[in-house]
Amino acid sequence: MNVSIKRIQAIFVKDYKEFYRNYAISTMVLMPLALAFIYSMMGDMDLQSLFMPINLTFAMITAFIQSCLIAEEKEHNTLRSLLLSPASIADILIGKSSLVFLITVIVLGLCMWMLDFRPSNLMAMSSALVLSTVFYLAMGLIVGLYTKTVMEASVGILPVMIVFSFGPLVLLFADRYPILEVFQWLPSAQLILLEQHSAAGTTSDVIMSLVVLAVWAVVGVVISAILFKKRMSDE
Amino acid sequence: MTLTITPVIEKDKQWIPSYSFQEGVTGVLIDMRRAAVVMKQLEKSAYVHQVRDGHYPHLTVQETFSYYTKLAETDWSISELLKTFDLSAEARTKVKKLTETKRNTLNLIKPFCAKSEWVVIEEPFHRIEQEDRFVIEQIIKGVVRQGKSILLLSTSVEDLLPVADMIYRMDERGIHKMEFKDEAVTQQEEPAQLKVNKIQVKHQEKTLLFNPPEVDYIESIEGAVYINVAGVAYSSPMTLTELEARLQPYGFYRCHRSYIVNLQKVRELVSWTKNSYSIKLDVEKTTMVPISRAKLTQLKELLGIS
Repeated sequence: MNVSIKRIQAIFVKDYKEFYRNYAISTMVLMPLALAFIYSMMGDMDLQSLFMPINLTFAMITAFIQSCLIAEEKEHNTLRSLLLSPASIADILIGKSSLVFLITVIVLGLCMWMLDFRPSNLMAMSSALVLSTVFYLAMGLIVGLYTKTVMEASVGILPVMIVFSFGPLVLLFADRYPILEVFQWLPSAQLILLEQHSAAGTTSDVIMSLVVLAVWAVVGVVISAILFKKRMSDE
Repeated sequence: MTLTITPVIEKDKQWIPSYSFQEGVTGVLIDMRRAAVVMKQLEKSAYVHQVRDGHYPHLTVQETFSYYTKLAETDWSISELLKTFDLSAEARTKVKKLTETKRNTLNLIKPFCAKSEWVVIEEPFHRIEQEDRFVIEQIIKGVVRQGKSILLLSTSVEDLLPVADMIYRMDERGIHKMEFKDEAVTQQEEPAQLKVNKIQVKHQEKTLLFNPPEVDYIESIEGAVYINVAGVAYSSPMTLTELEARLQPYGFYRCHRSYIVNLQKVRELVSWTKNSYSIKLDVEKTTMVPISRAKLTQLKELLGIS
C-alpha cells in the first residue's frame, strides 16, 4: 500500500485540531490524571491500585479516542470522501493511530510521574506499555468500525473498559473462585504480573508476560484488520 | 479518457442505459434514485462528490484548505484558493460557524483537490444563495482548468445550464442529448432560422429551445399555451394557431380546439363510446389527449388506420 508522510502528517494535524477543540472528547484526558492524583494523595499503594490509572488510560484514552476519531468521520459524513481521496487506508490509520499513541504516551507519563511509579525494569515495562497501546488501538478501531457517532462510541467503549481495565480487580477473589484465574491472562493483569516479576527478578516470567502481551497485540491488530476490510466492502 | 456507466436492468426493463461520456463538462438531468446508483458505479473510476458529504466542523476555513491540499500533495497557495472560493473574509472562521451557502461552497474543495481525471458532482448548486451561484461556476471553471473532466448530476435543468457544455436527460427511455440555448445567444442568431426549426418556451428567466420531435403535445388552458416535454409543461408565448402552422411539417396535428399532438408519439386511439375517442401518447406517464369528433376521420387517414 502506498504511504505518504505528507498525507499522514495532514491527517495527524487535522485529527489533532478536531480532537482538542471537541471538548466532549479532549476533557476525557483529565479522568485518568484525576484518578492518579487522588491515588497519589492516598500514598502507599499496592500494585493493583498503582496500575488502575494506567489500565484506565488505555481504555479511556487509547481505545476511546481511537474509536471517536473513526466514529466522528462517520458522524460528519466525511469517511466516504476520505476513502475516495488520495489518502490510502494505511495513511488514514497510521495518521490517526500515531496521534492517539502520542496522547497515550503523554498521559501515561504524567500518571506515572504523579504516582511516583518507577518500574523495576524500565526496558521491559516500556515495551509492555507499547504493546498494550497497540492492542488498545486495535480495540478502539473495532469499536469505531461498529459505531456511527461519538455518542455510540462512548457506549461501545464500556465493555472494553469493564473487561480490560477492571478485569484485574477480579483476581482479588481468585482465592475463593479458582475459575477467575483466567483473568490473569488479560493484558492489563499481565502488566501487573510483569512488574511483580521484574521486582522479584525472575527474567523468564518477565519474558513470558511480554510474549502474552505481544500475542494480544498481534491478535488484536489482525482481527481489527479483518473486520476493517469486511466493513469497508460492506459499505 | 471517457467515463463509462454500465447498464442496470430492473424488472426486465433497462433502468440505466450504458453510456460513455466524453471529456469536458457534462450535465445529466436525472432523478435521485438513478443518480444514487450512477454515483455508486462511478466511485471506482472517478471522485464522486455527494450532497450529503460533510466537513470537519472544528477546523477553520484556512485549515480545511491546507488539509485537503496536503492530502492531494499539491502546493497551491491558500490565499488563491480563498479567492476562488470567495472565502477570504472567513479564512479564520471555524467551519461550523459558516453560513450554509459558504459551507456548501467550501465543501467543493474536495472535488477541487481530487486527483482523478473525472470528477462527479451531485447537485452543484444545492442550497446556494442566488447571489453566490457565480462562486460555484468559478470553482467548476477552476476544476476544468486543472484538466479534469466533470459530470454534473441534477434534478433541475437550471442547475446544469450555467456550467455544462452538454446536457443529457436520463429516464425510462434511455439517455438523450438535450438542446438548449441561452437568451443572449438567441438574440444574436438569425430570427428567420429560429422560426423554422425550434420551439421557443419560457422557463423562469431562461428561454429554452426545443426541437419539435422532443415535444409530446401542446395544450391551451384558459388562453395560456403550454408545451409538454417529458412530463413538464413549459409556457409558450405563441398561440395555438401559430404553433399549428409552424409544426405541421413535423407531424403535429390539431386534434382538438385546445390541443396539438405530436403524431410520432401516438401509441393508441382509445375509444370511450362509439364516437368519442382519446389519444394515448407513448410518454413516461400515461397521457391522454382528447380528440374532437370532427377531426377523427382525418386523423385516422393521417395515421393510415381504418
